[in-house]
Amino acid sequence: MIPTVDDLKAGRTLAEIQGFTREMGATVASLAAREAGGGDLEVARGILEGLVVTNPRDPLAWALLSQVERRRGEPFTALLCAEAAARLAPGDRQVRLARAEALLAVPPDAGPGGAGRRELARAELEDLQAGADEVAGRAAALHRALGP
Amino acid sequence: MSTPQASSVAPRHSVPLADAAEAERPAASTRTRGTSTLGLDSPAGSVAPLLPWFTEGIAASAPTPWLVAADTAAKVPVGGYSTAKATGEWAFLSDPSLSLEDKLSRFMIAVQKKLGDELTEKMNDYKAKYGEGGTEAKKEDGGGIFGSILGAIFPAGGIFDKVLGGLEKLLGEALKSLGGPLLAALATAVGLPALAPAALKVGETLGAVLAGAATGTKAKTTSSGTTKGTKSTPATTPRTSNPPTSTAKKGEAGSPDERLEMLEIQRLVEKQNQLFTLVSNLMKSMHDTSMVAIQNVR
Repeated sequence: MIPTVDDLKAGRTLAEIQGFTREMGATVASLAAREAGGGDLEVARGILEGLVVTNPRDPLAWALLSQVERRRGEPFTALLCAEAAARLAPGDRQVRLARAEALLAVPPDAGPGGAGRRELARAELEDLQAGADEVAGRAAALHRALGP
Repeated sequence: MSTPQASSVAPRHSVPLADAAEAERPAASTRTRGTSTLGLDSPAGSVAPLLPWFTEGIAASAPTPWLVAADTAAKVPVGGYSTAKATGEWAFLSDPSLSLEDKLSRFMIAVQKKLGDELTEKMNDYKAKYGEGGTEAKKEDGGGIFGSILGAIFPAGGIFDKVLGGLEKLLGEALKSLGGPLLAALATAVGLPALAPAALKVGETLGAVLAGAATGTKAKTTSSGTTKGTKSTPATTPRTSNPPTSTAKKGEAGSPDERLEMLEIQRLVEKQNQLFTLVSNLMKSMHDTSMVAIQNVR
């Protein structure tokens, strides 16, 4: 079963139409994260693109795709994906981290807002490093790397 | 002056004009007696001696109820017939002085002209839409859908104005490089699901066009690397390995609407060809029929 034009316009996702559950989505996302962690970015990207097409309202999938695109050297695509994730879950820590990383990935000399991007990302990381989870650890590492 | 030959031909049995008129008169009076139209005053009276079987069953007083005079028929309105006469470019169809072949030729010319005009109109439409500076070409350049999606991702007055100013072009290119399904998913994610079907279509065609060209551009724009502390991977892998985007229709120029317009033009050209074939076959058939008749006479 594939979505019709009316389904698309109504915002119905392929996952809803095909009965693709949240658990299945989480499993696929973890598989992609494992591939990305192992260095196979192309496979990870393929999986994650399939996941966001299946369920465009999954912020975790967008955030992971943003991280993969950034590692692939596509900072602007990474930024688009991070912003999509931030739209869906603005308060999610993992999404905020992905967005900060995407902002930092944009070359400083691209456009006049290089310094502003850096400051925005620094503020986000500073906020995120307060915690005890994996996100906090990574945010703290990045914040330190940015320097004073 | 008369010659011997002329005098030998001259003696013939002939009736003087006055006598001839006298001779004709009784016959004429018999033929037209009592009738003003088709000549039958009473079937029982005048026709009965000649056609006895013809008058059987008809009362002697019946004044020929089934015979209608031509002038009377013309006055009686009869429904079901077209009263319109062909005018203008089709007037030749009702011209009695033209032969069937002439009419066929003129018919072909008229239809050909009509088809030609239609074809020219279609081509002009195509040029207006998809030619240089065409309206549809402008749309596909990304104004509409891409602008809307970008506007939804980076709303005015937000982060975009503060730190991403001047990057519109690069972000637009990144957006266009996404495949149709991914673009549709992005539109849905940022709250514009109504744009998803159009994004799906536009993304497919643009993704195919930009797949090759954009890779080089992106490699150049991202070659300055990423931030400290993050692993940098050069953009050497083309996006054609992406399952959702690699299925974009490569080698097929234009949007589905553009291809539809081209198909319409193709249909008109085929229609012209069919007309030529039809008339050609018809005329050949007529020629063959005439030739058979001529050969039979011989």
